[in-house]
Amino acid sequence: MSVRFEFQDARDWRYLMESLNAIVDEASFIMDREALKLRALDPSRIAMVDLHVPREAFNTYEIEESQVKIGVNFDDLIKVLRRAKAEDKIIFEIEGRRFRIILAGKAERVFSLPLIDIVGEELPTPKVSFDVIAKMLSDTLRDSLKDAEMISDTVRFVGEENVLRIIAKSDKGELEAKFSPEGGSLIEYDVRHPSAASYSLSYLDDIVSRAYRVSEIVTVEFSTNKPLSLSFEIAGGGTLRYYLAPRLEA
Amino acid sequence: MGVNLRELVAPVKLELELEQLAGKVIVLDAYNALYQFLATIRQPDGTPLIDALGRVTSHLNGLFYRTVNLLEKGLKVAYVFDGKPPELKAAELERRAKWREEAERKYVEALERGDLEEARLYAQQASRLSSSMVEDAKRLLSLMGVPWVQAPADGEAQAAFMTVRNDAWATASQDYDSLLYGSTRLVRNLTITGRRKLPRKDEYIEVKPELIELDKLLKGYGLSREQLVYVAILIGTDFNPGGVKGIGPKKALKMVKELSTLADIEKIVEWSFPVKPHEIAKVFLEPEVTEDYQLEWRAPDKDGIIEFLCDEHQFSRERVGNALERIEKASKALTKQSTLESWF
Repeated sequence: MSVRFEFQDARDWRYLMESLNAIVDEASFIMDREALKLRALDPSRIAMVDLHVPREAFNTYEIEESQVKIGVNFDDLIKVLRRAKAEDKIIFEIEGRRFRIILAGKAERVFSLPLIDIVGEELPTPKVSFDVIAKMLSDTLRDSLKDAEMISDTVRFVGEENVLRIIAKSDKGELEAKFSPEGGSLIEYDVRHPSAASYSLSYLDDIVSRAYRVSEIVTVEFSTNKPLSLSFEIAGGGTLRYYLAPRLEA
Repeated sequence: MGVNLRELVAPVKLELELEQLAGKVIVLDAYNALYQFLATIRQPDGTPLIDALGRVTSHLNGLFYRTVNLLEKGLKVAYVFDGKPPELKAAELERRAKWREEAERKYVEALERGDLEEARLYAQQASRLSSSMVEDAKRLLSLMGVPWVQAPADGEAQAAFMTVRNDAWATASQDYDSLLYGSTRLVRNLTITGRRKLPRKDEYIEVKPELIELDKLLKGYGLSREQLVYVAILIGTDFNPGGVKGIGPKKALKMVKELSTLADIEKIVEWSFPVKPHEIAKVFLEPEVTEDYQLEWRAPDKDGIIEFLCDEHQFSRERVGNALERIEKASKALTKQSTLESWF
């Protein structure tokens, strides 16, 4: 196979890869003529990541075949990306089994990594309709998750008509963070039905503490006792989206 | 003991947090866990915990508090007990008995020298699990409302069978044998998760559960389960301890991939064990298991537990009481982690 694509900012790419790494250690990108995609489930099948970057988001985007699979180990890939300097561009090249990553700044540095074969299953999109949709600063969400983590390992999202609450409770105490469009903490807010659901904080924190660097804005979507969706718009185009299964009353 | 697949599983193993296992049925190898408790729950000079009558209680202490811990995190744990050991294992069992005798002798010597660190180490190696300890353990689990299963033969084989039937999500043991028996997932370190002291050193490490998925392991190396068993036979199992001389994991893997049948392998290696390779393969590939088991979790019998642990074996009432409260709270307040598959 022969593939080449260039992305303007190597650091952005690193943040994106670190965000995928929150869910999986290795996975396959699927590249076709339209977009670069990756969809993967964490080993416990609790969280899923769904990445879609259209060809327009790249400086150049060349692919000979109609579709190729690019299996990578994120640890190895991220190690290389951490070597990127500000203003480096990043170029990925694959020829046959050779996978090259070029960090192009003042100098051009070429790294070669092995491509790995990953037996992946075809994953469907979770079938959920969301009753609460909130758009907020990803940093704000990250902060309140950090607050909640001091209290509990589970956090409850409660969507009421004009207020979104994030609640954590345990023997150690209680936290309630309130967000509203009026107060300015929600950029957009739409509630079809008031809803509430609980989610694992360790997953949420893993995801948000990495993905907040991909985008300043996050869209949070959920329904009562259904999965949570977190979407981050990628600079230059594309979406990084996560699904997280709820914790249910036993 | 068991086969040492450490090197082979290294690339596919995943570190987990205990809470990621919440809501999942995990079948623990009871003997493996009890030996762990007997070896590690000891005073600094290596003396195990004992009750007023001098009976060892380290195994009960470990089983009770560790199981409470796992239940509290939301895991649905069950235990499988070994049945009769296969006759083919006789040589290994004899070797272990000798090893324990030797360790016991060294333990006494170390104590006489006043070397507590050494004494503790040998005391651990000399751990013996008696049939009355096993009975104690079963009684305690029943009182706790935790299901246990009596395996007809090897407990790990039975546990693996339960994952294959989808009654359990994973097996849990420090040994890798359950993978050879076909366990779809193996969780290691479940009974030792937390802060652990390194032997002979004044250092501690943080141990986390490790997940090994059989499918990933096999696909990663392009092996069938049969071939994995052949690799294990070359490296050494309980039936041929030490394995074939000069053959380590890498070489074994290469040989099995090139030769692919056991007969071919037998032709070229120097086999010095009384048990033949195909007999060993049969143990792992066609183990004796039973479908006669039930996995039901009940509320703990609090009075029964206090009577057994505190009255009979002088456990601290306060500590046991607190632990019982933790189980109760966990079972009430527990939110069960769902998986995304429910929405696919």
